[in-house]
Amino acid sequence: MEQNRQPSELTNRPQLPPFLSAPLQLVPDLIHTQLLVRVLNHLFKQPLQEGELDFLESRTAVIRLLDGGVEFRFTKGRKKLVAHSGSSSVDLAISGNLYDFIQLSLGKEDPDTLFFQRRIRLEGDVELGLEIKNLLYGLELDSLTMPTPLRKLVRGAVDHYQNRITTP
Amino acid sequence: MMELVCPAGNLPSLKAAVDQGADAVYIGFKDETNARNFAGLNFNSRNIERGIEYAHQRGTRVFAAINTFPQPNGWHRWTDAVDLAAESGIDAVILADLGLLEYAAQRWPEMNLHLSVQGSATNYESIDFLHRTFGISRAVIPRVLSAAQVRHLAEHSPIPLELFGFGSLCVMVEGRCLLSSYATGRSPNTYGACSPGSHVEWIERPDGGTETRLGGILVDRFEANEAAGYPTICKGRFEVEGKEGYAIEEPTSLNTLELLPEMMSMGIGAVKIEGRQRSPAYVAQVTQVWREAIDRCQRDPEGFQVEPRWNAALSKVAEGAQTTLGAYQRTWQ
Repeated sequence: MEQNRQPSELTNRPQLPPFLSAPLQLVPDLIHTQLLVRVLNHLFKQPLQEGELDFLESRTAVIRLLDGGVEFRFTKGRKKLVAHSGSSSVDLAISGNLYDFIQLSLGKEDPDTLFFQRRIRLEGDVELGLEIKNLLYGLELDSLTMPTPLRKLVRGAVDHYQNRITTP
Repeated sequence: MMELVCPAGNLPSLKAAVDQGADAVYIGFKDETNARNFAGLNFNSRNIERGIEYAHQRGTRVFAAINTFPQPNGWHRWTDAVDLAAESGIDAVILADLGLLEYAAQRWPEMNLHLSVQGSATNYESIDFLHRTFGISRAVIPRVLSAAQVRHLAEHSPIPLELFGFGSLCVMVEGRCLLSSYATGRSPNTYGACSPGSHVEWIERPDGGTETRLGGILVDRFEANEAAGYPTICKGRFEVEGKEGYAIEEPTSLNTLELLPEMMSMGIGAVKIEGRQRSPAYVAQVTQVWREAIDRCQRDPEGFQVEPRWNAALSKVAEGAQTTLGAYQRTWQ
């Protein structure tokens, strides 16, 4: 068989310009996280009510934005997601650049693809990671309470940026 | 007419496959009765009905993979899965176990039975036997055969064959692999996953590299700029006789776009896309490429040429970011 026996090297790692991601560092992580969980609680209102996020109870996940230099620690309280301020150990860490997280959250990129390309990294309880991944992609956009104009705006912005990256 | 059969691990993926022009979508249930048994993935009784309704309204068929091997203490979980599929109005069940084939044929005589790749039928005598005994109407062919062998099989098979066209490859001892049992105590054949999440560890190293362990066993170390693969034993790098490398199989994806005209000339009934564990984005991207390619090839098989942008799109989502023609191109066995 004519196959390339060497592991493939990765070259293309798109990133947002620092002036977009760097200002995140000016605000303490806890503030970001409190903002993020408010948004998530709003988006996941229905799945939360139906108990689909119960697997996160008493477990802590952290999302690390490497280029932004910030991290969001959260867990699930009795009724909804809450920011986790303590320095106790985390069960799951997902790290990557802001651009890749935006791609993932809009469903434009496949998480396994980004994992193969080493753009998203997962550490800790892998079962928990799979559960979060599959929960997110199993949810239908209609069941999320995201206002359509906002969704269009974000998608449009990413499309614009992506075109600039791929067609220099 | 060659059918395009696409994977779906959840409702949005099923919709993505239907919307991008899949002729059929295959799914599994939320337990060990299928070979993609991962946390949070797959269908329950509520969304299988919604999925079938969505697909049928748009002229797409839905198949259920119930393709692991029942154990003595769990037989009813497997028959329940067959019953749930039949009662939901599924178009075919994809089975591997002989007992389950017998159950389905007796209990649901009208239902279409497909032989799973896990059933490992590599000769037409075997396909003919299963067709006569259980009435199977299609067989999914293991990825170990060369194109010449597939042609021979297709010429003599009493029923249409389904071939894998794209997706992650394994060592392809389908239905018989025990590698992960060694590391995790669980077998893909009975539990439905080669690398259960609870047994996987990814450990980041200070230099940016990553270490992968399965059941505590070190299976690979990736440098910061190396592509990663799934954390299975077969795709690990090991030291064998003083040499380090992929001892069994490397992380890679099958891509048979260029064989489409040949597959059509053999009269292959359907081409299958791997990846129920992937996201709706993957399903949409891959289905779109294959729909376009199959339509183009059907219109003009002689003039068919693979578009570079098709291969680029497929390579991007491939495991290990490289693709191969697999065993199809082999001249030896």
